[in-house]
Amino acid sequence: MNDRHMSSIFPECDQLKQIYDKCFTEFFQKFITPNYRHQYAVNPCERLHDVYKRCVEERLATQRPFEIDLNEIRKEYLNTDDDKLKDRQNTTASDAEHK
Amino acid sequence: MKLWDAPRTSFPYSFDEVVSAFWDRYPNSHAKHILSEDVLERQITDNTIVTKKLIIKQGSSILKRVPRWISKMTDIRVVPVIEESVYDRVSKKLVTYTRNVSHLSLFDLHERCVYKQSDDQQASNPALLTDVLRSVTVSIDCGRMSSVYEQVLLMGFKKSINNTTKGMFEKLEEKFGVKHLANEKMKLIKDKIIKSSSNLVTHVQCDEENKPI
Repeated sequence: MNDRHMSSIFPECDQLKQIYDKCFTEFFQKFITPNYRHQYAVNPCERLHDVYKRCVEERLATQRPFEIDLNEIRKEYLNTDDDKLKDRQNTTASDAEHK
Repeated sequence: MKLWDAPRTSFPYSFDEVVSAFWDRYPNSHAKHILSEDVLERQITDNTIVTKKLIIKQGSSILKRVPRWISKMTDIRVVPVIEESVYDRVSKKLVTYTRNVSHLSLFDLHERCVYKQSDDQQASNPALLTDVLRSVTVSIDCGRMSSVYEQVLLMGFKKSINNTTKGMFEKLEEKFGVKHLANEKMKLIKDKIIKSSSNLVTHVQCDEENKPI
């Protein structure tokens, strides 16, 4: 098992990111098994994600790296009216929309 | 504005294998231009995973070839993008939407991908084949050269898809072993030959299958 990993945008958040990523990877393998039931509607990695996410968001707000438009980050495009390509790709009438 | 659909790509792996590789696809040796990756949002329901990632990429090298004094476009070196995705384990679909989140007054590049189990009627086992449909739209607002730059950006994007696919294969092979698409195709050919005539030899040997990996 190689231990290459992709870094976080902020080095200070990197460790939190690795811990969260590991949790999600393990969770996903369970999620895709046929007899998995999402019990208590709880995301087992949620707490780890909250801590990691806060680390990134605080720094995004104060440092504004790479001229990132913070308003644009907040938006959602996929499967919305702003989704420029959904009509093109939706050949069938029903497509998963779980927003 | 320009729109483009990539030809369908097929991975000789199951849908869940492809999605597993997708989550972990960075880093890989074909993605040297990826500087960072962060999961900003993640919501999990009974059957879906909704994700938002911030990925920082080094800008298209093709833009560097355009003479600097012509346009500010060439000053763009780093492009942060947001990748939204919805994974649905019931419909067995992963849809992703990636767009730049800087320099929006100059350009926007949106890419939408659909990963799903192959519906290729001819595949011998569709459950072992995953298709990716990829479409992109690019708009540049940067003076009278805009249409030319759109073409340049689109060209760069098309080239980058090769690396994207190679990167996915690298990750898939790392996680799940090497599978030969050639074998899938050979199987299709075999099946066709076998079905087309009962007068022909019924057992077709494929040398490829016996070659060491």
